[in-house]
Amino acid sequence: MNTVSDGAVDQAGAQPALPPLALEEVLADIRQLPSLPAVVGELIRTLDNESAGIDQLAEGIAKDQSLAARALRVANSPFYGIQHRVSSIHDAIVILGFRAVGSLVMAASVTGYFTPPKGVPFDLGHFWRHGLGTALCARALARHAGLDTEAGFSAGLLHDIGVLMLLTTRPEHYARVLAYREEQDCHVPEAERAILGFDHAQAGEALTSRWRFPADIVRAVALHHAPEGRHGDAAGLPSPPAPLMEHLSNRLGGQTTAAKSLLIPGGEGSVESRSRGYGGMASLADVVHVANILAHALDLAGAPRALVPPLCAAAWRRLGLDAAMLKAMLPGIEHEHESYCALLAA
Amino acid sequence: MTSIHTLALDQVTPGMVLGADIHDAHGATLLAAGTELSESHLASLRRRDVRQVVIEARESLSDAEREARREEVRARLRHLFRHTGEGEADRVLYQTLLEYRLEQVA
Repeated sequence: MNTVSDGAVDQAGAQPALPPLALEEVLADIRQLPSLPAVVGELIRTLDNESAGIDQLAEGIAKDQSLAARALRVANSPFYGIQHRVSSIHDAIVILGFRAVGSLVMAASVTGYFTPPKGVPFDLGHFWRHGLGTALCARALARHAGLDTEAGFSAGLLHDIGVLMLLTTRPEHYARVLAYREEQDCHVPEAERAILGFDHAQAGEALTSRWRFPADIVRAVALHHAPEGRHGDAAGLPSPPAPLMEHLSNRLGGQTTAAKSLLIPGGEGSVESRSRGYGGMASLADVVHVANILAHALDLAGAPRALVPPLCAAAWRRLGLDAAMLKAMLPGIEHEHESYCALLAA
Repeated sequence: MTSIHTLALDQVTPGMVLGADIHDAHGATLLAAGTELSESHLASLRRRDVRQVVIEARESLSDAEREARREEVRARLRHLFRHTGEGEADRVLYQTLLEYRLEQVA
């Protein structure tokens, strides 16, 4: 029997052993998750520039009242400064544009998708404030790099979705990750690899692939901590052990096209997913990598123990940013962030 | 020290400074950020059914208060960047954020 003081001195030793968690089990968890609202599936397809009936889609969004209401709350925020109150999704599309409203609806949907279990010390508000902040940073950086702004927004929004999935499906394991990160004050992927043997970028890659996001978004989620590829120098973080793609192509039947496109090493992404920035060819993974770091640097989560990860020099160079361009982006991102956080109010 | 607040229009009083542009439905700027709002501006915004506006609050600080704020900014950034990389890009990011935050206090 441990006394209270023993427990305090040797907390890790006092915890009962948990069975190890294999990545295969996480992939099996993904197949058990409820599907996203149908309208979000449609929106995902518009991200890949597949033709979608806009009227039909607007109707689909309007049918989901709670989704539409939360999206309209942002459209009505002072950031957009629209003089008349936007009372319908149709009006919002006319004023803000179809794809921007699509991004809003996507954000309204995914921020309500996972409900982490009670009893795990995790602040969902901080999590989504950071997700929305990264989405807005990624939209600004994608615009700068000449990449698709709404693909940037979605990839930024979802970059850490693997955290939320692991926390929801495997709360006991993830509680250990959170405790380790707290004790060591290390970066989250380091804690995940120490406790689980894989990280949230791998889990997020599998989940966004399952949700049939376009390959460049899946890839950006997968590589947001290591835009040079998991076996490159990356961001100075240790490489995870087993490559996910062998698991994925075996486990996710029917989804192998997106999965296989991820096998291409970091230097040779597909032509359409890249663009010529000031410093070479920037990819969506570069955009989300820098966006995540910028959102932490701007303190957008409001988390007391936030930590800015190391920047990948090559990704930074490909984006072609200098200090003046970066500084000019910051006020707009901060103002817009305040508006988007209206999505998170109950 | 400037900070940005969202206020309901009926809480806004003349002399307050706009913190973000106000656009019309076509994206044209009605009032630019930095505009000092007059009573006629406010009447016009009421007519246009604007409900909320972003206001930039300027506080007048004593030199000692300002230096204390600047030190808070530096300390928070040092904390955020406590395990950052050592490359040139990391340094540029840190310096840019530091300048941006210190200018907000100035």
